[in-house]
Amino acid sequence: MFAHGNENMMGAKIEKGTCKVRVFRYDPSKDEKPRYETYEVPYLVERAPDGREIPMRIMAVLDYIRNELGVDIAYRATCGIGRCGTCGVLVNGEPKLACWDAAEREMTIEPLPNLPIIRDLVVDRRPLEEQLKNVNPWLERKKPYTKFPEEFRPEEIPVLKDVFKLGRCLECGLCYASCPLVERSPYVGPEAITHLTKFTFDPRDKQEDRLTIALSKGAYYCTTCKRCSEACPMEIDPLNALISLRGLLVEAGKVPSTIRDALERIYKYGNPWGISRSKRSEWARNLKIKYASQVEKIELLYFVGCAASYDLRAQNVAKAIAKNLNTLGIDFTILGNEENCCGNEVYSLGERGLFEILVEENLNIFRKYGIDKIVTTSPHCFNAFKNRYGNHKLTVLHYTQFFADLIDKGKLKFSKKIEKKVTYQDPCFLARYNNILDEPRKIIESIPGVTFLELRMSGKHGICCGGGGGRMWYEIPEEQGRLAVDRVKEAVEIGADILAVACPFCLLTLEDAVKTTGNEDKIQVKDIMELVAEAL
Amino acid sequence: MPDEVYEKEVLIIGGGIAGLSAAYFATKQGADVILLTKGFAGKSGCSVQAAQFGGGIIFLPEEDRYAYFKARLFNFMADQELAWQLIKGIDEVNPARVLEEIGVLWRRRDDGSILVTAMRLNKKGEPSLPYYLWSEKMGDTAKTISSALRQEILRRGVEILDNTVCTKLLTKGGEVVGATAYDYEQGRFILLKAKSVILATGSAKLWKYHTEARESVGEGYILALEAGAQLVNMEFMAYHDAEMVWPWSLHLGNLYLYTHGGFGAAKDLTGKYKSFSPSKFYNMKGEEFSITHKLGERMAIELQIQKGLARKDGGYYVSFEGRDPEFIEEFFYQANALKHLGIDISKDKIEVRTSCHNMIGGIKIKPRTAETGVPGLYACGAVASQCLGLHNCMVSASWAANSAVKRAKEIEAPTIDLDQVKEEENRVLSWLSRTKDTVGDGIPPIKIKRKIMDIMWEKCNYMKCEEDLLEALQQLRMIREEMMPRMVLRSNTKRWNYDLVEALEVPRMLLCAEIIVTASLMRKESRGYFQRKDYPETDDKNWLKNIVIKFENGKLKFDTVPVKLTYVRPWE
Repeated sequence: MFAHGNENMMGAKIEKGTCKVRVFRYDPSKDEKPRYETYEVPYLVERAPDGREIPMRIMAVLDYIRNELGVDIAYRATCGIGRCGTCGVLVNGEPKLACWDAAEREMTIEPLPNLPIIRDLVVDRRPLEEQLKNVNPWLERKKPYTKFPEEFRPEEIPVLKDVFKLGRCLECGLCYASCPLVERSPYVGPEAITHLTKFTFDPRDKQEDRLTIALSKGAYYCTTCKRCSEACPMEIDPLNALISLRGLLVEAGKVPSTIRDALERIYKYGNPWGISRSKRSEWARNLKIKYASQVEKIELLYFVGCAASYDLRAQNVAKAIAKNLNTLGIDFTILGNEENCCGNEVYSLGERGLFEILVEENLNIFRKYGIDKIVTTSPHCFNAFKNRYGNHKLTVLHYTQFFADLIDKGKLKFSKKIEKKVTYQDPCFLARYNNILDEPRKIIESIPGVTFLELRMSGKHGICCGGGGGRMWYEIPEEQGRLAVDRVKEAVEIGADILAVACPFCLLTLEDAVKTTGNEDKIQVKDIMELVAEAL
Repeated sequence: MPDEVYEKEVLIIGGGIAGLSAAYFATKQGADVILLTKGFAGKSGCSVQAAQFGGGIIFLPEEDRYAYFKARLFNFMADQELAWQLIKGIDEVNPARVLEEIGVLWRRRDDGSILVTAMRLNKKGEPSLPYYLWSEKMGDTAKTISSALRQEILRRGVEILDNTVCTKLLTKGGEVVGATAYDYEQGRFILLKAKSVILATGSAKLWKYHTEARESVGEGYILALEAGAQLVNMEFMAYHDAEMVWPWSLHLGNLYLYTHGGFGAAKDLTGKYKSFSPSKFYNMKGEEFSITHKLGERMAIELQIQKGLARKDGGYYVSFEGRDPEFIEEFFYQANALKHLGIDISKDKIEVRTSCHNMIGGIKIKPRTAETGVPGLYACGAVASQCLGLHNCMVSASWAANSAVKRAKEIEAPTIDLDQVKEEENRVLSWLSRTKDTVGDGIPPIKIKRKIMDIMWEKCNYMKCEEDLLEALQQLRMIREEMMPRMVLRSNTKRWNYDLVEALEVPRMLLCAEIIVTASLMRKESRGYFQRKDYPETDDKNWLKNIVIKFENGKLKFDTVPVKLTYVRPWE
């Protein structure tokens, strides 16, 4: 405690409250099945006069339960200061280091997913270590080591410093535990990829052999859902490491043929399907729509995107958005056949060169027409323009933000009811990449007659539909069960009639999964804009 | 019957940098090696907490080596030949080179030269006593080293048994022939036959506040003692002076702030070398006090404690006023912890406390061979007297590996006394029948552990005195006579029965604590890190002696042996 009891010289005080914690208990050698036990524990927060709060750590709660309450829960605890990386647990659905992260007043503490359970919160680290071994996580020197200290050219120093940022990895496995692919596919996982990337960029290493390993261990399996980077306690960004690695694979020409073809089609035709540019705005043919080349000034650009332009099912979303904007009297314009791929997946696939070309072309088009405000169909296009296109002065919105804003302003009123139970698949590029969680829900919940149901894994914990990262053009034959199938099953389990989406890739993958699981009579997949169009 | 039997040439017990290095050196010589560790190899013990690597002393100029040598004599308690050989070993083994070869990147300046930081500045304001190398981020150094060593030995085919605690060293005819161990993940009792055994079990967390991982409780000292080795200088330990106090933490771990050293990384605009140490110390009243004292920083704090203006477990503060926050962010190893906690180093005063850092004494070993006097048993790293410090861990590990491999190549596979194994298996596994369900309510081991740590913290801390030490002995005896017999486990599960691990720890922790207190009582003087309120003067006339401990006829024997003043005498 502090020098003067509960107070210290800085005037900071310790406040004592209560923490309610549910702990997962399971002894595979004795118990038939897991159970949860609830405890009450003192919740200590240090509060500084300027309002800063420093709560107790999660591990302190576990210690209290074991040592003061006398309950023999099993958990790992070694260094206590975020160095050894062994104390990972799942707290309220998020992977955390127990010693490093703050406890919350209400917690459910569970073992990390994707690893076999030894007892209670202790998981077996062996699969994690095996995966790491798969990428040869040691230096394989290009040239023999001859003298100490090793001599580096000055230009190698910044590269080494960058590479060694990846070396801060604690091997805690939180990223591995959050990856939806490691258990269902041969993907080696984000931790191993981080180490592989570190060695591949290390100028001392042999490097080329690493790329073959990268390819065989699933460098193209990742859907870029970003759960790994969200989980990393050292802010290493394993996803960025993967994309950098893909960049090297592209440079070395080691890209799977279906992905290479998709990239070539984007380059030639401005869309990954390879359909002619002249057909890009065919979906809009009989609609009341303004084209950029025909107007004086553009108030709002509706950026349709490749999927909603060319895919027959996704075109219904574009039509719904156009209809909704028109019904609400919003002045908008589309680029028509001048619209080009946004390049978000090109970036995720590591094709930096093509991505830079697309950025330049698209920014030129926007500049040409004096565009300053864009609303997109797809969260992917939204993310590209907002976060990956560098410094620009454009206001970029996803349609959920735009329409939620209309609700706030009282401009969106519904005249019809939809008496259905509706649940919602959070797109990765809205929820995790851009923190957009409330707006889509606001729209759905304001439709009269709708009962909104939350999926168990939703919001920032949501699980990818499997469509991102280039996976629309790359099949993993060994994948046990598509991600989309699990999402549909979850939606059916909670009793939803409609699985609402806000992304064309989610729309396509989830609808496909509904068909393959034979759930067409139980559930429908609809874009939020389609629901709005129905109810307006 | 053991669940698993291993037969290897070299068995290494301990997975910190000493153990990993020993495995590296041994396997490089073609030995068949197995390593077992209570925690995780490369993630446990105090190794992973270390911020910097002392292998930089290879750059020490001749004129500074003598000063370094004298400092490592710990006020003349050390084995001078051992201290000298450890320094020679740096040149011969060059641990920094060993690590660089396997991929550890030592921090470079922008011009590519290697960054070596110094303990202090000389009169000209230049770094003097160059000492430490850093990995890319100072503070990650030990992690980087551990990780690189672990991967390297895995690549070379060393088998690693994590979460496996050694329960006993097996002996036959006065020689060590193997060990028994308990894998507490799966609840398996394991027999390991080995021609050579290297103990690398590190230091001891016997005090309430101590910079060690939870599982480092000093069992290694007692395992060695039980096998016939000797302990020396157990009353000497180093202390930290600025560990961050977190009031809500039920001693999670220990984040300490460096109060000295690190000079040479960068200069400010006036040409002065920047520092990442706290700039000011404040006592309970808010008065500034100086941390400098000829007997070290811990003594400076002790003076405040004696005036009632600080406590050993808190009540004094540090600040970083005037320090460059960018420099701290770039170079200071706790920077990300401070940021994570929302501490603003430009204005906050951080409450800190003292803590025990490392045992200086330990298993008595022979210089250059790391022999313990028991054939087949070698020791290296912090468990061996004087071998603390990552660079010394590695030098002593290379000695131990060389001796271990040499012996393994020369002798036949030893035979094991199976009765000894059976007795040990029974001792370990019979705990599973001592649960509250079978014998009724009792005391869980963790409570006894914490009581031992409380007693040591209160009565056997930095400033000792006869009254406290006698009180400590009495309370430890009470634990032995009243609490230990009532120790029960909370469950008989085979899966992660940490109560069982702790039940095995308790008797050895108790013995280790008793040894430290008894040796402290014997030494009636003050000397460097060993301070007594009732004997404040150094007594070279009567106490240029080491206290050596061994088991004789099943009882502890404490002897005093005059220090051999091989190279330097105190009056020179």
